[in-house]
Amino acid sequence: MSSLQFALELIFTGLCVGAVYSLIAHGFNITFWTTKVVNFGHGPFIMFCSMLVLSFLMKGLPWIVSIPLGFSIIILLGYILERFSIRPLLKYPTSMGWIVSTLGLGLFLQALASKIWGAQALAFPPFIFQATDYVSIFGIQLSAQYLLVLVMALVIMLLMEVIINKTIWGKAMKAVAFDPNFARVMGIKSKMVMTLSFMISALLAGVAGILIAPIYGTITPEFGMNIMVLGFVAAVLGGIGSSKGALFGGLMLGVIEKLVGGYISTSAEHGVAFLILIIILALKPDGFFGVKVVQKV
Amino acid sequence: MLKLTDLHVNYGPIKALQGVSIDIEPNNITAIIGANGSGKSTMLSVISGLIIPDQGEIYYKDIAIHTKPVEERVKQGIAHVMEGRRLFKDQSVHDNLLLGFYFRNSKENKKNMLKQINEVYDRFPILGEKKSQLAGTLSGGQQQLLIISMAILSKPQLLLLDEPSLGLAPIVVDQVYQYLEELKAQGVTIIVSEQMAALAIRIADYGYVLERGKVVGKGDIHYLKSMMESDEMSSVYFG
Ligand SMILES: Nc1ncnc2c1ncn2[C@@H]1O[C@H](COP(=O)(O)OP(=O)(O)O)[C@@H](O)[C@H]1O
Ligand SMILES: [Mg+2]
Repeated sequence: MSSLQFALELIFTGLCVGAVYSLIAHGFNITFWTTKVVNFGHGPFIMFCSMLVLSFLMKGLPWIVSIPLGFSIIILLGYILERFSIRPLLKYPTSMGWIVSTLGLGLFLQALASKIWGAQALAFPPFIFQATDYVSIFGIQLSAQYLLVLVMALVIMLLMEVIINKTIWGKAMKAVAFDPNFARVMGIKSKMVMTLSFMISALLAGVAGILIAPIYGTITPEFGMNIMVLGFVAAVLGGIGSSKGALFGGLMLGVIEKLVGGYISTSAEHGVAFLILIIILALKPDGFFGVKVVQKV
Repeated sequence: MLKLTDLHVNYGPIKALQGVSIDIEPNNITAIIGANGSGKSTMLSVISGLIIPDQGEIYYKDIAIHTKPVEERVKQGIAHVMEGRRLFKDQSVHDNLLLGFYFRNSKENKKNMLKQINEVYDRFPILGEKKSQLAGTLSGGQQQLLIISMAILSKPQLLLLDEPSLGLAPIVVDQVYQYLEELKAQGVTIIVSEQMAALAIRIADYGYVLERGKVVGKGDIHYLKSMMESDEMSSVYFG
């Protein structure tokens, strides 16, 4: 294999995992917009959904049933999180209670997963394609599974963009994000939109889990928290709250990670990612597409 | 039309309203006059439902509404133009109008959405010209006209305006007030808060003077004018 081919393959792989980081960063953004809460339970949501889907598959249910079932449960969890542990805290804008609530629910889900499925790694089957299916483009061998992940993640993000900017519900969500009290006066049920944003975010977590699990091959109760940190890095790198930033931050992080893995060592992948985060934040505290958050009364 | 009885609102130790009672006649413009911090915004927010009072009652068309959420009061015909020119500044003028219309109108009315938004553009052509610009790029006066236009897209019977003239050039204030007169002529009941009585008396039929959360004076236009002329009051409120 030529060195160019090698580099291109690394970049391709990086774009694929990076697209999943972007998806996770988007999940963070959605709840951040409406409530200014960073949901640290997002990672365990990712894990829990893929665990659920896996256990349904092992019970003999087909993908077509397992995935919607897993998604429904994770959406319900998003609802529960907002309704019972975020909303009561929103009355106290200075309270840092949301960190405890979101992290707490996350750690609880992680413990619950260990209890139900055990702490060991479980094999996650490939989705649609086999691990050995390849597509050849310009002489580069691209894994079909990875390509699928890239395309799905991009399509979902594009869809989200269209929904948010072109539909009245998306505009309402932006309105609540911008000024929840003014939105209420305009008849928008701000609280409902906030709840909805947690449900959509949870769904995105579920999607990210289902996309990344076949690539990882195995999943553990901790994998969600680990990958969430990368999604968080992507969000901060791009500028938290920015859609463009989430996309850009995720893809960039993925590519850097895989280049480091390919040329230095795979065990350095994540370490270097964090180093980069620290450097970039020192230079650009708002991230690349930082949205200034204006606090309103 | 609207009756407030013995309203109390506290923000922690701060007593923002201390037993306010007022009575609003239909199809009138009522001014709430008071210095900064006298409780005007709190009073309007209590009427629209953004703030739930600690004590006291609100009757709107003889129905108690003080425990009802904002969304419900909106449906019953109350619209609130908050202080500080609140707009969805990161969205276009047209999208602001869509948002102003969509969630406060019945399915039946939604069929006429674009027609009603076009009526706004007919009334204020400058908004039509700038309909695809972000609302935040409009001048202060244009923003205020957009906000009032949004507010009345629900065809409210009661319109609350919190210091609509603040920070606007005199000529723009004229434009805003003229529009309020027009709305009154269409049958809308209006409550407008102002710091300056000199402004309020230009459109008000009746007025209340608030001081530290209490009503310290009320009366018709003659009363307000005579008050403006009396020394002690004018030095405090009327600049
Ligand atoms: N959200 C709030 N928290 C604490 N105090 C407030 C709040 N809003 C208003 N106040 C206080 O309540 C009093 C009345 O305020 P407000 O209703 O805004 O008066 P006005 O609109 O006439 O300026 C003031 O003393 C003000 O500082
Ligand atoms: Mg005020």
